[in-house]
Amino acid sequence: MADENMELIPENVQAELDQKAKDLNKRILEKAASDEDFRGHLMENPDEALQQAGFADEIKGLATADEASEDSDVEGHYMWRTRRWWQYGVLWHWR
Amino acid sequence: MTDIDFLTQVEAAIAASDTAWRVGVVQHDGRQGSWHAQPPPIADRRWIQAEPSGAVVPDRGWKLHVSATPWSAPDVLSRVLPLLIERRAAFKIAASPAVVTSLNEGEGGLTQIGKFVTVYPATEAAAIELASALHLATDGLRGPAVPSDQPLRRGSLVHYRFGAFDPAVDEAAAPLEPIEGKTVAINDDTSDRPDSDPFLAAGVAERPTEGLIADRYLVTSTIYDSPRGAVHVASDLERLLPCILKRAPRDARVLPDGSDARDQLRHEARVLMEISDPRVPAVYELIDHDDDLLLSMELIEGEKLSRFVARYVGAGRPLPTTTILRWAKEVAEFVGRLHSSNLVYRDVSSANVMVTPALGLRFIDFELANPVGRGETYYPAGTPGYCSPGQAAGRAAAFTDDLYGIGALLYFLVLREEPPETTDLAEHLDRPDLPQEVAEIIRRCVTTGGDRYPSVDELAKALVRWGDALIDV
Repeated sequence: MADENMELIPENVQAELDQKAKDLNKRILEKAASDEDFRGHLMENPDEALQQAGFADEIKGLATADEASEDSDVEGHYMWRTRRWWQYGVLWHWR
Repeated sequence: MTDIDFLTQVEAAIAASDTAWRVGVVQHDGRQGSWHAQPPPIADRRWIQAEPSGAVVPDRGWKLHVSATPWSAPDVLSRVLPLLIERRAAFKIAASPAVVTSLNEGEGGLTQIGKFVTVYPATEAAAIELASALHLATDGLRGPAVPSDQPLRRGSLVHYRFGAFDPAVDEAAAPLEPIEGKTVAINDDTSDRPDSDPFLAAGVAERPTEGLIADRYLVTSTIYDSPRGAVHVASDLERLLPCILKRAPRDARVLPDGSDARDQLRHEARVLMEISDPRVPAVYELIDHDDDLLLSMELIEGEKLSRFVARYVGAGRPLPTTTILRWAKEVAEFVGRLHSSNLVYRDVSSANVMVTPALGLRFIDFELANPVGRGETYYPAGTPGYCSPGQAAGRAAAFTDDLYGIGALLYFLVLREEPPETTDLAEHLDRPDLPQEVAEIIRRCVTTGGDRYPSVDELAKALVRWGDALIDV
């Protein structure tokens, strides 16, 4: 019987992205907590504040990492089809 | 909902005009009905296309979309048609409320949500004028936002975007076969898109809201997106805490009583506050943002049980039996607590159980939770494989819904694979890799027969007996 000493293997892409998002969020909050000017700037003009603090590219990277081409003509629109979405889709047809 | 023949509406409007039009039908399989010929049955129709005879429709330009719900579509159409015909603008409409439902449920992809009417104005000036007229005509009617487009104004059904024109076929129809010898353009090239927005410049469009949500929430990423809503990771800059923002867009999954995804989100917030258990996310606040509703709630550290187990599968290892047993008992205890408050979870699944860094369990996603005997739904919802036959049929909440879900979760934990997408899991338990005593526990959770566990408490006792037997061995 295996024990509970969890041996981790690399997470799947979705889980990795979720974790990156949480880590990025944490770093932004830590900077906002320690830098009142940054916090104020974020409240006033978040895009500019994130750009100047070097977070903007990371946020953009998260948004585009999961970009799915689908058969869409829409530039810059990101989406991904989670299992759960399809689950609801399947259920739709049950009736 | 009785399906409505929009083709009759279009033909009647055209007959009342003094111009000649070509009207055609595209079927679900992409085949096109003949112009002016006997159209295919309504159930086979996906799009109705119309263009003025002799009109020259440009290859590309500013296209307009007018959204609708399946319930508002007839009204939207009756207000939009006279304007389109009077202005001789080529257009395409979803052929019936059933097709509108399909679009709004995202069956064609997220970009297709809300695209009830697509208009192909001949010029930029015509697009701007028509957009304004369509907005005024449809003001007050309901329809979801079109995610791929710019809304003309906040709450407007009218949206615009620069792209390829092909009234016979465009990306929304997404057929793969050429129609009438035309090449089907699936992807638009937007390289010649104008730098500036002529709708804003003309003062017709309203600049979209920018900045923080409710002046305090900074969205850093979207971890889930669907036609019914999204889940964002965000920072609360006032309290300096991370949080989850669950977003319900306007007019998503509108029901016959007029309620939509926003009402479901309000319901979930109420349920979470009623449960008041440290194992469910804390609710911070509900926020009206533009036309959407957002629920700000605790961000739970850890990962979904589905992913946690997937890592074991990847490592070729079984989940420890002691862990399976401990977690199964914990889920049963939690659900039993809900049941003692007369509440049914209705979404026990591997995706809704979070494993914390300390290997404890927490539970998320309570939008389907309802008091027993309530929650009969127009659109059945749940997680296939975990969803009881009664829930899949849209019946009111029953404690047995959760028994079924726990049985399916036990199946997942022991076999490390999602349960088959069926409502008769009992038929899938005869496997050599499923210990007989566990199969029997699962069977008594999911069966509709007389020996189903009478309550989650009885299931919990069976799990204890299983654990005792393991120790004895």
